[in-house]
Amino acid sequence: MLALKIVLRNLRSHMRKNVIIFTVTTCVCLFLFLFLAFSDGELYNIKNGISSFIYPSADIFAATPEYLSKREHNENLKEETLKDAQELKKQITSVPGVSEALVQGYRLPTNLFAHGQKYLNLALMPLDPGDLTIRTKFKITEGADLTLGDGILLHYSMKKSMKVSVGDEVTLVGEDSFGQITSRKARITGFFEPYQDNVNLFTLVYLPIDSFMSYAGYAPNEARQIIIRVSRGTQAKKVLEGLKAKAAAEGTPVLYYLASDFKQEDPWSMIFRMIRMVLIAATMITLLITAFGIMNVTSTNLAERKKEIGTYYCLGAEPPFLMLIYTLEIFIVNFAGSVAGIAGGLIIRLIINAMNITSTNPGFLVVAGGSRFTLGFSFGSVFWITGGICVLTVLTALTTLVKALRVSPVVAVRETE
Amino acid sequence: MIRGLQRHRKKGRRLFVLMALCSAALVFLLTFRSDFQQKNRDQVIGLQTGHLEILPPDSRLLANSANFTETEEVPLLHLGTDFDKWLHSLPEIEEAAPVISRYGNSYNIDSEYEGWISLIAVDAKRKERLFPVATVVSGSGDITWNEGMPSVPLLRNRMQTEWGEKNADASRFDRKELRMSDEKLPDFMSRISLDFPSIFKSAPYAGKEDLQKFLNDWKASLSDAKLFEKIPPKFTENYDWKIDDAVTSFNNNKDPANISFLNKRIFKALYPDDIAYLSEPIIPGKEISLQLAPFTTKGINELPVVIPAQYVGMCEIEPLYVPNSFIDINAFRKYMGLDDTSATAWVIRLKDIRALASVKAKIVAKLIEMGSDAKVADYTFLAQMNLTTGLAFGVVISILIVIFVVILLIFTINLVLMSMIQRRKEIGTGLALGLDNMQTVIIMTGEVAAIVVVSCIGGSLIGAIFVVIGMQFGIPGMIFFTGGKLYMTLQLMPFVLTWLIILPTSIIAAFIPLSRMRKYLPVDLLKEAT
Repeated sequence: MLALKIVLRNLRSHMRKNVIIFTVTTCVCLFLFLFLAFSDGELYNIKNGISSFIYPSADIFAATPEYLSKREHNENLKEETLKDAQELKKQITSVPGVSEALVQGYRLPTNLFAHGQKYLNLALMPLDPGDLTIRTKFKITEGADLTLGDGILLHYSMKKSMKVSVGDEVTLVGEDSFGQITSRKARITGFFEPYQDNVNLFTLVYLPIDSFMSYAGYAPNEARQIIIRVSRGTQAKKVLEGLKAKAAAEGTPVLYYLASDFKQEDPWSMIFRMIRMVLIAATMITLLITAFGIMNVTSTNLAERKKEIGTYYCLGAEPPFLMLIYTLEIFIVNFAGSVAGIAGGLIIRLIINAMNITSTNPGFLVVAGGSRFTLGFSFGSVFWITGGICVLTVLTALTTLVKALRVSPVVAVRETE
Repeated sequence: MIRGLQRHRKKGRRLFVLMALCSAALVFLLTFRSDFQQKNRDQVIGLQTGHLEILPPDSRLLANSANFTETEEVPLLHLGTDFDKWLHSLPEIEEAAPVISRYGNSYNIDSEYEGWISLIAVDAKRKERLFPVATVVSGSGDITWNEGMPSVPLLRNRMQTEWGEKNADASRFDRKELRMSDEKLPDFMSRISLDFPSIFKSAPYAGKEDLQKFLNDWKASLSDAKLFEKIPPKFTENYDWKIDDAVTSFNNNKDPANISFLNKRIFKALYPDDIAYLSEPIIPGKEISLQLAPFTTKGINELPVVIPAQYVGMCEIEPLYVPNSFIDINAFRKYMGLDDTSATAWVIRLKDIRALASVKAKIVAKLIEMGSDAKVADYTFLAQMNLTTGLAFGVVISILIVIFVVILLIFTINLVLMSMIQRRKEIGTGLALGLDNMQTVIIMTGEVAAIVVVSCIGGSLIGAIFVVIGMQFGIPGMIFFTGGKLYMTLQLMPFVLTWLIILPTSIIAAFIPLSRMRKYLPVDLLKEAT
């Protein structure tokens, strides 16, 4: 308590120099926060954009008992299917805590024939009528959502690119999952626009799940896996136990596993995580130079306070106590600077996010990770900045205080006479 | 001034280290920024677009360079040999050639889908000069084709190795390729050793601890061209299509490099429940079937064109965008039924990028003269998406540079202020002995300038050392570039810019607090100092 009182008094009496350190720390932390917020924003956009479309979110998966061991050995999983998916879905949704159970889809390359022109290499994806989560990720810009068995949804950019309209009849043609030619007539029911767009979503074509599975070469009731999403506030582990108990009671040969236990990162997130590593390396250089500057100011500051240090010794203070006082002083200034910097960054983040900066430029989509520029937030970034500042404080204390406190009380008093 | 520097060398040393660190960081970051933007641009030019492209007027690339919907029916250019000769007569042109771009699918020898492939068909002799960044990383880069060849040479992109999808080692089995758990491993070892006693010479195997010995014995047999003759009769007593298929594939094979993999497949057919799925490695020498959509749409169910091809080598790619593979344009035209002048574009590479506008104007004029309606687009339009990445990274680095300059400014002002306070007595004495205030300001500013110059020299040297390290080993984690690394280059401009940024800013930063000294009286300073 006494130490804290002394520290606060010292802070007041050396306000000017502390303000300099505070200003530098604030500026540096503000920039670092914005840097990392940019990277967090990219990851957020990827997670809520392209990743959520191609790899729909799941808490638990239901698969055949051999599914995981086969996946571990990189085996072909095309034929590893659940045979009575509809019945299983009913079973799953009857378990408390389950909010959605959907047949898992995947991207199937296909071609689309419209108005005498064949468009190649489109990405066909299924859309379950009951999938409410995916519907929060896009809006229908024209036409209606998928309800009909022969309907398809196209990305809004395709309207201009393919010169097609709502109601047009097109033909999907390509290879199914087993290498056989497959073809199906379909009608464009509408165009969708992802809230977080990405160049890889331009060629996405949505087909109702039943039609998709049959187009992909599966029986109507077959599914590779079933995606299970749990209700908000419910623990996936508890639901998993419930599902396993139900399967055991009914003798259903099915394997339930937590999605988080076998998480595979998608390529887009991997790319942006690597970009984040580069940014973190850049912030380290900044912190290093700031550390040196702060050490410099602190050292000069302490050199001028020999009288004060000498007086403390005269009053009976021991070096560890003085070490504590001065370390606390440096820490409070640095920490306040980092808090102010982060707070400033949060305000800028709020303003920039409220500005709703959007673009459809492909380059922008790649750089921002989506069509809306987002400054994100993660506790990791805050810990990185404050942790860096703490290390900086320790470094400053070690490099400057040990030497600065080596003052004889007599010498200190004599020097100031 | 020199006396002042010697007397206060401790503080001067601090300023020196700070300035040196900042200038080293600036040299490094400015070089990094310049290299990033330049290589980002050169990469797309050298891998895909060239400096200029001549496109059909209705090319989808002209509407939107980032168009992702390829159509089966593609507009084609027909510019003849006269135009080619004229282009090559232009002194600014390094290389120019017609190209055909097409996406397709590749299939393994057993008709299994291997993957999606983006092809650029180009004259085999011009490929290297036209796309110099697509360097060969393994195998050969020779894609020359002639009529008698059974398969078309294909220089494949090295996507698999780039993204860590390492090809499984075809010369041996590894643990991951065996399905059974560790507990069931001895049982498998025992069964296979009894079936093939001549191969598993070190049998019996104890279990997991003898795994390496077991796998090594197995490996020695995989290069045996007569292995299929050693299959015990119990496997062939009843017809098994899997074994028959594997042995037939082996017998049909003419490439000695494939023996090990085909032997692995025979074992997979013999022990289907014990050996996991074996994917055929993507390596130079591999035979594949290319399936490409024909160029003219006649109906919905148009069958693809099949081209027998062989990977002659692997080439560098642009990791973030479309990875291209290369094939001889003559072979491509023949298989696709196109005439000798057909091309989806003409790619032009210049000797010097500064000649871009003048060459573009010349080509446009020539095309008009020829009565052609073809359009000319430069790389800035064709590679908008790629260039934005470079621009964004440049902005990020520029922000970092601004942070360094701000830090430098604040600390320089602080140090000078401290120095002024601590040297009051000295300054007052100087003034009392006849120095005027402006002279004192100039002396002290000179001291700072001297420190800045020396520290800039030191910092530039440190920065240069880091750049040289970046040249030698490359900056890792650069997923934007071929090989995942950015190799830096030693350039003059970052050093000049560093000096231009640090010298004036720090001298001005020192001058601002010192200028207050103009109003001081010696008596005040001496009084304050006591």
